[in-house]
Amino acid sequence: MTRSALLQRIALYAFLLTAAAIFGLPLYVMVATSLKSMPELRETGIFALPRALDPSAWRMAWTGACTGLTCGGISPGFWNSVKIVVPSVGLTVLAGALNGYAMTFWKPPLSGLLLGLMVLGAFLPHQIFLYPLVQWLSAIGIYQTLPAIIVIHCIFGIPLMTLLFRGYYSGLPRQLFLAAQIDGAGFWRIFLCIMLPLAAPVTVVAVILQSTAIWNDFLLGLVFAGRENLPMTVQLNNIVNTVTGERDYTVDMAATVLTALVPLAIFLLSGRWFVRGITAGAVKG
Amino acid sequence: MTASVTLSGLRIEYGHHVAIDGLDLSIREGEFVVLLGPSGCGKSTLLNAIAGLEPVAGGRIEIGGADMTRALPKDRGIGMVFQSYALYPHMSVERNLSFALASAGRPKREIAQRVADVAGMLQLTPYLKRKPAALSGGQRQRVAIGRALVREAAVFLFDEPLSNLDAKLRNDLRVEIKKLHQRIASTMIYVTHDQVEAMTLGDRIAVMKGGEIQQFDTPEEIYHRPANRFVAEFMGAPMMNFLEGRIEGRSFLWQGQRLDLSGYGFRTAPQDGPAVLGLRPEHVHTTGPADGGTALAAQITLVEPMGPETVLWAETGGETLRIRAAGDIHAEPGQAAALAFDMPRAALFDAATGERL
Ligand SMILES: Nc1ncnc2c1ncn2[C@@H]1O[C@H](COP(=O)(O)OP(=O)(O)OP(=O)(O)O)[C@@H](O)[C@H]1O
Ligand SMILES: [Mg+2]
Repeated sequence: MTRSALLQRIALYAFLLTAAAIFGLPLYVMVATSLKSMPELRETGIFALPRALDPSAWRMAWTGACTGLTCGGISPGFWNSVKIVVPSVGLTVLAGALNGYAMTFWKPPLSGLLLGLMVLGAFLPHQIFLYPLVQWLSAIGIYQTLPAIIVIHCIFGIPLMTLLFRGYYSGLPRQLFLAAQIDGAGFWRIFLCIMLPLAAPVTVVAVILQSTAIWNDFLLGLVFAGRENLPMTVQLNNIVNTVTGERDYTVDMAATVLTALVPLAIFLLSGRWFVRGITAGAVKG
Repeated sequence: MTASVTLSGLRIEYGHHVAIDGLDLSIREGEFVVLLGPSGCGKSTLLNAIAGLEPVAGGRIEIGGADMTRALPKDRGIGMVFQSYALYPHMSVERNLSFALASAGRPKREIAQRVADVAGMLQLTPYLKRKPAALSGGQRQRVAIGRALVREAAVFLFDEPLSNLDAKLRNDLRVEIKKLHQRIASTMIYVTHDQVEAMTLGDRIAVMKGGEIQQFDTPEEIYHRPANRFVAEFMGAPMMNFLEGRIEGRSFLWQGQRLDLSGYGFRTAPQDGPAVLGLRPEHVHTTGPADGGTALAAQITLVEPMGPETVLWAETGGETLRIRAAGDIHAEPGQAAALAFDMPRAALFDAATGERL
């Protein structure tokens, strides 16, 4: 290795280590703090390793911490989020796949206009629509219910999902679609037997993007979900902001880590698929 | 199974662009018809229209005597093979072959039987469980052909099926397709821009240009009696020689030479005036006139040995002629040659319209 190559290597590693520290340190502080008790935290500071692994803060965060008036921990929020995320992701991804397929291959009239609207829908800030949507949902009587928040996530998610799938499908050879027509497959059979299975890589990407985005949502959940269905992020905020007596940082940290756990797990488990899905080009053969 | 195909007044538009305007074509039962033409002339467009994959702006498509102008692709009794194979990449060969029958809701036993038959016919049986990605190009194309075959179509449409294959495989599969046609006797419409495929496979060839059929005839007629200069230029390699001169009486005047036209079969009585004489390279002889006819002094400028034949380039009077000579000829650039034209087999074209005289 020459001198300059060695220097480059050193610089590269210095950069990577710094970057890792910037992202890793807060995570370490959170996890370490959540495993301490308050007296220990005061004594040792935030950077020290915990003396013993004390899970009491985690238990408290999960089942006992006060979120506003009730003190049931963050677990109800977790289940609320699951109830919101699973149907929302399923519906948006499926609808996006179907829209993308129809727009790419069947080219309905006005599909150009439709595409323009989709782009607008995908990239306009959501806050603009907040007030009209509140009005509309109230009018049809489902404002602040579970269906309401699911509908809202669908409205905001479908345009982006459609664009994602459309981009993927336009990379597929059109002759596949023609061959399927010759083989006597109709709109649904071509979608279900050919186009949807072929879109598996982009579907993985779509599910990851959507589940992370919807899990992390705060604003829409706060406005539309209603008291009974507040998602985990909102509950976390309530825990952190509800101060009765002494503020217990260990519980706050444990609750935060718990909330971040789902998107974190999704990325760790599917990171490889994600990269593969994003880079997957047209299918050959 | 077999069926005739009749197109009348066919018109196909892409937005404001008219790809095909008023095309007529009548294909007999069991015939092998090749659509030949340069890139962009509308071959695929025409084939897709017959398949029902492209909406028709006007005219009529009949298959087996029934009006199919607006019928769905699956109801037309056609099978189609695409240039890029278009196999379903996520399905095994077996599922690729059975997809059409499953779509039609045929019973499982019948499907299995048909797939086994076709796989046997195309020597695909060992590969039935494989995905297309694990096949060679030739095997993939055989699967694509098999997918059309299982449907027991009356009309097969091929869109440049061999153009993605290397030369050797192309020859092998060409022969296979010809044998297949002899065996199943279905009507076949085959798009290509390869003249060898066109000449060897076609009962008749439709030469196309700019969405119009220039000539629709047997390979022999197309090659030996091209209907216009475009067809003459397009067919044959090395290309036909074109000499610009004049007709005077029963002779063609070129470079001060008077070439005898008495053996030429004119379509209508010839009129004196400018014309173009077309001579295939094999109709220019370097051995001098056998029967004491006109000899042309020329100089050989280039020698291309091809094995069974040698292509010579010879210059005379400022024109370069392509000559097809025997493979064992001994010729050197710079050598002098005495040329003779086989005038009865030449083609004469109108200088202005390019139509055959
Ligand atoms: N989807 C389309 N939209 C607009 N124009 C098209 C479309 N498809 C084909 N064309 C035009 O129609 C004409 C005929 O195209 P076609 O694909 O039939 O040519 P081809 O003879 O099959 O050529 P090739 O040998 O390159 O396959 C071309 O001028 C092409 O530009
Ligand atoms: Mg084509």
